[in-house]
Amino acid sequence: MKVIQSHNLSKSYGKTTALNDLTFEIEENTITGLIGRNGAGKTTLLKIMAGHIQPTHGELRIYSQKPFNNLERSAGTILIDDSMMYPDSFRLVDILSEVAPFYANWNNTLANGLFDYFSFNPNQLHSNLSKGSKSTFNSIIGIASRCPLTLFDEPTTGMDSAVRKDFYKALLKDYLKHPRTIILSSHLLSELEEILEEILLIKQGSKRLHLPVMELKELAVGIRGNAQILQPFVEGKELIYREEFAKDNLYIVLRKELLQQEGEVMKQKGLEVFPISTDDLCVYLTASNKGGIDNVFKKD
Amino acid sequence: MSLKKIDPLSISLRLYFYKLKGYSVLLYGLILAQIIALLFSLNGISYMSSNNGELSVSVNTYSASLVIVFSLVWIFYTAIQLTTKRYKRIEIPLVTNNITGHLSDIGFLMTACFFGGLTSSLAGVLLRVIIYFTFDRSQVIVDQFFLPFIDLLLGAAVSALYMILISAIGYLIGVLTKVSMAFVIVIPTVILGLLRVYADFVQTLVAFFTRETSFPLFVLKVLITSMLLFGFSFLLSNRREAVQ
Amino acid sequence: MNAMISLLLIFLIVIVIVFFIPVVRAKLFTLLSWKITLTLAGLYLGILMMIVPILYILPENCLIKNNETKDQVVATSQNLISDLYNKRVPSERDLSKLEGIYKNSSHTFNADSNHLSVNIQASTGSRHVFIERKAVDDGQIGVSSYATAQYIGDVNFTKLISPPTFTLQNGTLSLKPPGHQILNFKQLNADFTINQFSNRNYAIHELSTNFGEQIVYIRVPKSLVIDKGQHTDQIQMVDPVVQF
Repeated sequence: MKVIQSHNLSKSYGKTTALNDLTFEIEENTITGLIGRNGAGKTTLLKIMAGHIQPTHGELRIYSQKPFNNLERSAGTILIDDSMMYPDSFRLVDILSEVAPFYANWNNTLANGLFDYFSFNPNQLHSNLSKGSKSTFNSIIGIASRCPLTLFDEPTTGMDSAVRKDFYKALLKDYLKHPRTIILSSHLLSELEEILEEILLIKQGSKRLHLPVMELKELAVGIRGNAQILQPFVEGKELIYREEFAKDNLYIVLRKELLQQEGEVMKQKGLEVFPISTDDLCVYLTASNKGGIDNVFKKD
Repeated sequence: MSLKKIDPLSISLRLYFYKLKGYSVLLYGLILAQIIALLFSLNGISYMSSNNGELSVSVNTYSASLVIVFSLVWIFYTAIQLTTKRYKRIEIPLVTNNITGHLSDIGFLMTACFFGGLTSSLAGVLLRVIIYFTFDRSQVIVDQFFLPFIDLLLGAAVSALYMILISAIGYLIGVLTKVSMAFVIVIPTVILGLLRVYADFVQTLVAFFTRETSFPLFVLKVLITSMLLFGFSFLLSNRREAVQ
Repeated sequence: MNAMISLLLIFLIVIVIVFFIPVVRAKLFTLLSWKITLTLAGLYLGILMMIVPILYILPENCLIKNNETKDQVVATSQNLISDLYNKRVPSERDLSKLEGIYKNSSHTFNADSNHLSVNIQASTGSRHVFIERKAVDDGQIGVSSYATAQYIGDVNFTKLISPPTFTLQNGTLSLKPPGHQILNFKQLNADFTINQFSNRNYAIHELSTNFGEQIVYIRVPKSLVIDKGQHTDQIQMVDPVVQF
């Protein structure tokens, strides 16, 4: 069953376009990574899903309902981001007990367990937490609310790596026990990839690709070697990335399917053929111009 | 998965209790304002004196009206506050939409009005008791010193109603400024303009409430006006993105 | 009293300033969870409500009563003055038995000479001196001073007026007015929220002062020679024959 259906979704703030003609569907009970560079429109997309803002054009439906200003949708969705605010009269321990009545599937044991595990001071104020602790605390709410649609916007901002790993583990464990649709946005794919099933890659508000993680891993290969030898092989093929990293040395990335049987031949000719990590691939796919940052330095 | 029907009223009620607890800090502002006003009131609100050469007679007049005025200022400020982004962001982690958000805001404001109306009227009693014990009793005139209990109740109800009216005005102003920042300039200009050019009209408007001597009619006027103002705030913000 | 108010005000201002310093505010808020806040707000309301019964058990007899029959009293006392000028003396010899007239002081002097001159100091204000001849020669001069009804608002302060002092020496009765007297009253007003619906009208309740007259009534032996001196217009002989 499709939980999220987005059709030609666009959102602009004045003259700036945040989302541009976005069409995709997300299956129920999957964990999807929403990957993109800063300013690619991840937050905007999540806010539209959460119903905080409405699209300028096109539509997005969740359980075939428009989420904006929709109470039923709000009850089934939670968006965890760093703009979450709680009243100053609530200490951390109050927040957990006060938010609970709003979510039908809220699990108190889980919330308190995670709260203790991350050793929060129950009497602290949310606004006094450090950035990392705030993210951790918000994530506890995201996990414990067990909303049918749980959205995390850059949930690990500020967390140290041990906490990140714990968070991903906790999320995954609870997800396996209580499947739900989860979307995580991030610009870092490497550590997320373990728990993701699908990846929705957006670039400047447009969909770049939407694939299961498994397919993404197999999507492309990198070839490195002498430019003169490499050039004939890739002539006329669409390159995902191309970089001249030393004199006469070329590094290219292209779709695996374009290579077919040529891989073996390349290896024999002394070219290095290797798989590309999803993280790097995403960077290449969302690069605004081929050649990357090196091009800036090449000009002089 | 199938979703059970979500009842807006029960959600509003939950939001109301959340806000009642969460915004309770605001009550310190009210209590502080009332205590300060009470202290000012101890100096008397008016003074008149006559002299015939051999004899000066003066009368200091005391009343707790200032406490009510301060409470009105507080509720106005509070109502505007509730419409600000800062407070709207508090709703984000919760289940809400525009209607439930507004309903729970109004619920909080009504509770604050009830509390403020009651306390500001009772402040008059506190003022009298303070005067009784700290001032020279032989100078205190008995008239209106012992307020009839029924007047006390009336006073509490009327100040609560005035607070409701002011909160509805403040809330609408808050919503208007969210619709467009232009209103930040437009509203004071319009008010000043009205005061200068249509002073009579403004007076009539104010007198519509302050010169009403029938209590039931007053209740009706305040409630209907407040409902219209709140309703207008609903309509203005219903299709708007509260937080961007 | 004022020192106490200023101290409290300074204290409150400090609280307000502290409230707006973010660091202190954050610390404060950590302590003030909603449970504490709502408890304090409830306590505040509770204290105010507990004061209500205290107000009603306060004894009122030490406060100043106000007189509802003010206009009538003022009229009576003014009639008396004109009667006296028309040489009509009420059958009641003690003027204070009349409504609105209060006796300040009463002295009896033994006449030390066969004539009497009355010395009124220049700045005595509106003080009327009436002299009545008694039917007998008992050698006694009776001097009484009275004040007619004096009001500020509805409060009759006639009784609080100090009398002049009298001395008789070598046939001269000297009147020395009391020093400048200052009377201060404290009036409590109901809040505007109550006044709007009670029948009390603002205009009526405006405090007006009504300074009455002061009368010196001297009764002299039948054959005493009266020397009016320079005060002929202020000293009036009253013919005892004409009575009403």
